[in-house]
Amino acid sequence: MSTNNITVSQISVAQILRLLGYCALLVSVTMHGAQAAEFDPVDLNDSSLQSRRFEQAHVEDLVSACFSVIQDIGFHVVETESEPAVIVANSYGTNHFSLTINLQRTDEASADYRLRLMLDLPPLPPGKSHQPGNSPEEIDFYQNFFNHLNKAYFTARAIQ
Amino acid sequence: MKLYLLVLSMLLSTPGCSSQQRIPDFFATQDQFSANRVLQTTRVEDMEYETLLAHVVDSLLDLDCTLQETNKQFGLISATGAPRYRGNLRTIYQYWAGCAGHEVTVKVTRSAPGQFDVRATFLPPEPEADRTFKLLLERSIAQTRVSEASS
Repeated sequence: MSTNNITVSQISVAQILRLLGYCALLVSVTMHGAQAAEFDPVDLNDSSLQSRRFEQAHVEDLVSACFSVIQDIGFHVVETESEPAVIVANSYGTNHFSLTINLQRTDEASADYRLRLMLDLPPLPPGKSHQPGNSPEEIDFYQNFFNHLNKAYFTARAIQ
Repeated sequence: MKLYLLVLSMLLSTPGCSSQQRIPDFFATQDQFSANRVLQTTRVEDMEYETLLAHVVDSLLDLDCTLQETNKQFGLISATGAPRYRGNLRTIYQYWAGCAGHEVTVKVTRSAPGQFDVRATFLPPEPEADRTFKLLLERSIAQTRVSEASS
């Protein structure tokens, strides 16, 4: 009888552990699911955070304004493409931040442009990965960049 | 049991691996942006756009730079300094130790008909670099004008 009791209790412990394992697995999957569900709006927000529309834009002045801000903040232009307008610039140093600007015409008839800016972070050490979404510092960066870009564009237009 | 623990530890450890990269405040010196722009800009008058771009390239070669990117439509030239200054222009030592290890971005902007602003930014930033580039550009333009006038 006592032998049977021990066996029953051993099974119970094993079952409990198995149940706990399932629970933990379920919780983890649910947490990841929740993260994935939260990631979608962040992903959509990225696009609006990184983009600005310029209606009836003068593309030459807009490109000049981009270069002006890039040079102001100490980035070095490494690559450009005229059609479509693309600029790639890096901050100084080996572990550099990288900026990509893409200027896209949204309406042929009215010369409306959409400017997309993306800040790429330097790679992290092996085994580390960047958190999804934008940190407050990244959000500040985009807002600051566009504020300065608007000023530079306004100045360029005023000179012309 | 070991399998559960392994899977569990893997799942729980994944979010812990991610970290947030610290972004420097690239706009920390924004009060100096305007002043820097003035120091880094050379105004050139009565010159063709293509000729001016050629003078910019000439000045960068004087600094022993290797061209990295040129875009005539954007008026953009970027270059990197040779690892060691070879003494392409020996008089440069009067002004600056040289462009070795530096990155240069030059933007030519039309400010009025026949008038251009040439802005050169060096990384890492050095006031000597700004002054030397201006000097070399002005010298390159002046030499051409002198030879044009004499011929």
